Amino acid sequence: MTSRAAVLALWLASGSALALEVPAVTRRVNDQAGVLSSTDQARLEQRLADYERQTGHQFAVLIIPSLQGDPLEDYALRAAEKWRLGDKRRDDGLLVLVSVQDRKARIEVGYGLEGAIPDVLAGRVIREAFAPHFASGNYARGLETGLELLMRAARGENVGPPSRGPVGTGPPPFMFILVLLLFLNAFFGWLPRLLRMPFIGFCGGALGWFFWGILGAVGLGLLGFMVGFVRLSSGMGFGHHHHHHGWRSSGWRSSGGGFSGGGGRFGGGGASGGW
Amino acid sequence: MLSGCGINEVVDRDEDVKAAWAEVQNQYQRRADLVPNLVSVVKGAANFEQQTLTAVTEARASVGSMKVDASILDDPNRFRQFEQAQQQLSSALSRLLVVSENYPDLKASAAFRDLMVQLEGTENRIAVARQRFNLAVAEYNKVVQRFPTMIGAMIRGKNVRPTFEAHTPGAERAPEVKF
Repeated sequence: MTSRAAVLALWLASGSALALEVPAVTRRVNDQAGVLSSTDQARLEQRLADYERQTGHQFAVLIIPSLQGDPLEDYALRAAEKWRLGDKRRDDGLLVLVSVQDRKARIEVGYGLEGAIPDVLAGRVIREAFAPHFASGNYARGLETGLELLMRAARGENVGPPSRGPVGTGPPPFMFILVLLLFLNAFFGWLPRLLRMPFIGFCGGALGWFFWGILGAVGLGLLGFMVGFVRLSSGMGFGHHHHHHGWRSSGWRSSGGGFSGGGGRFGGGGASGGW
Repeated sequence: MLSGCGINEVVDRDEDVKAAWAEVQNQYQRRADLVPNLVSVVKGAANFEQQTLTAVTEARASVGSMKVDASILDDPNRFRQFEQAQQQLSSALSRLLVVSENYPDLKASAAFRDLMVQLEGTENRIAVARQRFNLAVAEYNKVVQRFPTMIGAMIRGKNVRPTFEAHTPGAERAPEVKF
């Protein structure tokens, strides 16, 4: 599994050993630099929350005092990956990162919004909405103007229905269930004893084919014949469990008062700029 | 149990690698697609240094002529060739960006500026895709080399695969050169 830990490990190994840590996400508008008044913060927060309710798109803002030497793009991607903004199926998250002392900003766009917010548009928002206001110290105004443009651009984006429940938990294929039922029936139940051996062998073969192709078919088929033979000769059963770990559920989207990302992915799309 | 021998795991990791490779290719393709636009915008600038343009066009052509299906993953030589060709295009492009510093009118034009944003975005995506590819290959190589999963990998006929040369984050981006 390409785990998040592995991603982190790579970052650590690749020279940014003292990489600036991304704060935990608790709200949509995170001002670590203290440049927003509490009313501005609350207003922006409310605006983004309303927008998320209407469209499902998850936008968030992170303002930090300084990058402390980290490359802007690396930090922005790490933040976006850590917060997992956006729906996990639609990947419709967006992060605005502002580093006050570096006088740099980046708009990190989730995979699902790359069509609605191409890099050129993100670049224009930074140049024309953020930069002029940020330069005069009015961060709230700049963010508000820029975010409105971005929200409008993404509003029309139809990126499929939101995910319900965990991803990747589609029902096991029909054939598999059928064969499994037959197998269990043959194993525990009603078939005449003489039919059991070939039948279990056949089902074992089918299961093996299902999982492992020809090789598995032969292997499990033989195993099935053996099991059938043992059953035939002794009449005794024994448990034989197969754990298939393909259908994992990994859904987490916390409810309650706090804010958390929905599992959206990012691929480095967006734009950077300064003022 | 068969599944303990990595016979399934090697397939999963193989798929991860192929998916990561597809993304790398997509992003390189995206960059290659930008080149004709960039060249035509730059050509419009009076007296733009012809040599630089030719280098970009040639590097673009050599990238375009490469066959890059997934079989390249198991062929270290072709893999290196691919990387070299892409590297050449990177160099030619950064040379072009350096030279364009001498053409203030070009730099000020909206078309050029938008292309720069697109190029930056694409280089950033390439860097991300390369990194994720290397991670996927690292996981895959572990499965192929370690016991007992190497058994499954042997049965499947899977071998160790090459990764991209390590770059420090940001090294993919065009270097800033000031005269």
